[in-house]
Amino acid sequence: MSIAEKLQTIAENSPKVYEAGKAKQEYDFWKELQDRTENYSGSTYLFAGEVWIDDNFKPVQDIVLKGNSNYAFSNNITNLKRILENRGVKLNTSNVTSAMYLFYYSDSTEVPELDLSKATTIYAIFYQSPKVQSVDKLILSNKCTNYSSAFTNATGLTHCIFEGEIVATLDIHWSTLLDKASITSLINTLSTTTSGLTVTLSKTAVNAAFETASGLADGSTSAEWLALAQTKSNWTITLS
Amino acid sequence: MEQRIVLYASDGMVLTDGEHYGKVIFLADGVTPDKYYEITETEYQAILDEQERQNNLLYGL
Repeated sequence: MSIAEKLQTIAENSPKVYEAGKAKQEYDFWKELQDRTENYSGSTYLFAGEVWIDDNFKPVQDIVLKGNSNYAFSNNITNLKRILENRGVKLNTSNVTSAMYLFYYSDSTEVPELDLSKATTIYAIFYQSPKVQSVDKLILSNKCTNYSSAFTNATGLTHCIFEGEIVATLDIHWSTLLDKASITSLINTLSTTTSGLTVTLSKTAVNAAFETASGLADGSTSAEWLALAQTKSNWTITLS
Repeated sequence: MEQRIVLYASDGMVLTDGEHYGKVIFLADGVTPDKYYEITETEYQAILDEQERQNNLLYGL
């Protein structure tokens, strides 16, 4: 190969080398960030703030939130679930003990499964998050005793499967688009051993989800809904 | 099976016990309707607006 040919080859490969170097640098940054933060006892504010957007959110391994994880995903990422899937990583929240404001003002339309079975509070978890449309699954346990403001103005929420046990008063009436599977799972997750508690749902959502024929919006008086509500007669169920 | 008490708000009204608000309320076993009363939808909206204002103050918005 002549010198000219070698120089030609170098010039042609230069962009590839540059991109490879950039990717390696990016990978190293994220590996270091994630390895270091995993050694912390908590994940408060981990990815909080407007600075976090789709273009710069590039985890290289599973994200493990733990302990106090308040505000951890209060940011401008528009689809957390898709980004994680595309990058082949998962979000592990199974050791979160406080999930206050976790998705406060979140821009994420889709949220992956959240195992919050060790959390004692989900106060304002989706507060003012009208862009959140679906949550794959929200796993709660009798450890969680604070649901205040959890769904305040979560007006875009259409799907959120509840699992585990709910043992405190919950208000999700802002979610007027909540689908049947979500409402059913919510009722099924209400504790059978508590008393004096209230769950508030959107009457519009129940009317649509359980309607007896398309367009009737009569779900709140349907036999199916009444039977479901009756399974948790230890709860006051309010349709707002 | 014990008949469950269900309260329905009148047209243009909202039921409340001072803490929870709704158009239809399925009372839990053992809960009596005594503590519930009606307010107008306008009053209810004013309450919601005030709650939002208080929350915004709380969250520094």
